[in-house]
Amino acid sequence: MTLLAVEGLEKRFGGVQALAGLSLSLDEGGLLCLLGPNGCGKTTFFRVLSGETAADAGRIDFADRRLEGEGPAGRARLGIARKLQTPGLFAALTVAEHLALAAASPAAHGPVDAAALLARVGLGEHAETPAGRLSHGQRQWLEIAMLLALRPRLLLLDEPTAGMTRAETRRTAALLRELNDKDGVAAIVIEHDMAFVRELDVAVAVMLQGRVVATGSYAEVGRDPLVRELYLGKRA
Amino acid sequence: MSRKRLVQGLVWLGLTLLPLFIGEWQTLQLAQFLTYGLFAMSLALAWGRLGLLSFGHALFFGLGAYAMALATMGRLPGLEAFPSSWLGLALACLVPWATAQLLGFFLFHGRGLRGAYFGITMLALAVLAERLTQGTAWLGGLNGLIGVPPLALGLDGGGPALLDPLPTYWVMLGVAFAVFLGLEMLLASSRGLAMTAVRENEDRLGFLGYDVAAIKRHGFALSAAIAGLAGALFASQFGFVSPKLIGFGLSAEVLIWTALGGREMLLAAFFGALLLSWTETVLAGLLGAYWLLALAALLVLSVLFFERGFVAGILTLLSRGRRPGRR
Ligand SMILES: Nc1ncnc2c1ncn2[C@@H]1O[C@H](COP(=O)(O)OP(=O)(O)OP(=O)(O)O)[C@@H](O)[C@H]1O
Ligand SMILES: [Mg+2]
Repeated sequence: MTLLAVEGLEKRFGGVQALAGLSLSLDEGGLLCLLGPNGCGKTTFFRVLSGETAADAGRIDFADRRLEGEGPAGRARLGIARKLQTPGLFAALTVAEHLALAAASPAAHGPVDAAALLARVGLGEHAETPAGRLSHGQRQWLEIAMLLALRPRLLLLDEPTAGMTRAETRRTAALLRELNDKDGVAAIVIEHDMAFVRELDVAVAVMLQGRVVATGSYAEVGRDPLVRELYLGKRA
Repeated sequence: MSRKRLVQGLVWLGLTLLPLFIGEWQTLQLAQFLTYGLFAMSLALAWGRLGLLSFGHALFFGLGAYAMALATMGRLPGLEAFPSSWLGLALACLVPWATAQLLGFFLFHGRGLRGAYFGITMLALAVLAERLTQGTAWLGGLNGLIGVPPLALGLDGGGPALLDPLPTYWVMLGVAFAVFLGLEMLLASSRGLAMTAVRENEDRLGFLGYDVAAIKRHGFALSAAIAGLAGALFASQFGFVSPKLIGFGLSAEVLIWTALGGREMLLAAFFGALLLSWTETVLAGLLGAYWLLALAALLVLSVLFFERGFVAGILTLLSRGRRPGRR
């Protein structure tokens, strides 16, 4: 069953056409990696999807309902949880308080076992540590754990492995896999790290200049001559 | 019981016993400073928790003071024959609360005023209120209103009244303590957690599904109600209200007390206000106009060495003892 259907999304910032007819769909429990060069509109897509900014044209259907007008809080209550490109945490609050905050939110979709969740992202020992004192990788995981505590229907992760070491990146991939397989959380992940994408081995959508130009498995997309030339060729 | 609670308990106990060791006149003066302490707690709630740096918080203190004066002096149209302290207290909380709710709708919802713009708007409102008060005969104009009766137990303004220094002091302390406890409980709850999160990163909180504007509006209104209560208690003790209570001067003073005491800790802000007001009466006599210089120097030193306020710094050290702690 389709969870998210995006049709012809457009967004212009002054002279920049950040989204130019983006269409995309994701099944319930699906996992999708969104690739694309810098400035192709990936974050803008997340911003529109999470209600931070309105699209100029196009439609978004989420869980059999057309999204229109709700702000970030409204979309969060519908079950869309977004991880920001730079960790969005509350520096003075402890790790445990972050989860409590999420669990008490009007957007929380059910009870959570905070201790288990923290153990899962490797923060079990750090429940009482203020977020401001965590390492970069730990912050990324805390933010993911906080979003998971909302028990969202769709997780939007904007470059979750940015600034992580190889080992941390691999752990994040494993965590995502597990979340998707075991808990059935649907997710769209923006990534630059090809090794991470290969490791995840999931469906991939390649964006270019504000629209999706290729979809398929990592291998399929990798064979697409346009994608090779425009994107992967320059990087991989 | 944690060490933090022990330190807090000792501070309140000390304040309870203090008047037994000082003179009547000093007790009365301290009782007045307790209302400043209550006022500082209200600002600590708005500024230290919600990040709402209000440069015009005396607006609410003044509204409370005038509401109390008008009610108890029988100057409210239709209620002349009912000069009740209780009515005064209720209005002194309600009027600032409603004012802050209304302001909150304009300031926080929609695009919302942030940071300095909010502060400056509050400053402008306090100055405006001061001017309006000065020009309104019903409010006593420049002279203010003289003869605000002390708190009286009777529903109609009669009955036993709060006149003697000791009971006055203890009643003020009791009110401050009750407000402190209530706020501490609020801040320890999940609502309080959300308020702290507003200060830390309000945009992020919205993405977690919280209605940030509503949290700010309700928190701001609660802060205003407490400021109004402080103003009412001040007026009934002092027996006199004037435009100074609603304007820029007192707004700046409460900011300094709260900043020096510690905006993120209610007790620190409260105690900071007491301590600074007390120091002012001692030093202003000795130093004259140089008192302001001394205060400014103190502020600079405190900002340099105790970014979160010096009372907060000391209380934190005491609460921590020798164990390495967090925050
Ligand atoms: N608020 C804005 N105002 C003006 N231009 C913007 C704004 N936000 C994004 N843009 C422009 O829109 C385009 C798409 O930006 P976006 O941040 O979505 O790219 P991205 O794919 O996330 O890039 P990156 O990989 O660097 O994160 C860029 O050209 C960017 O400069
Ligand atoms: Mg981006």
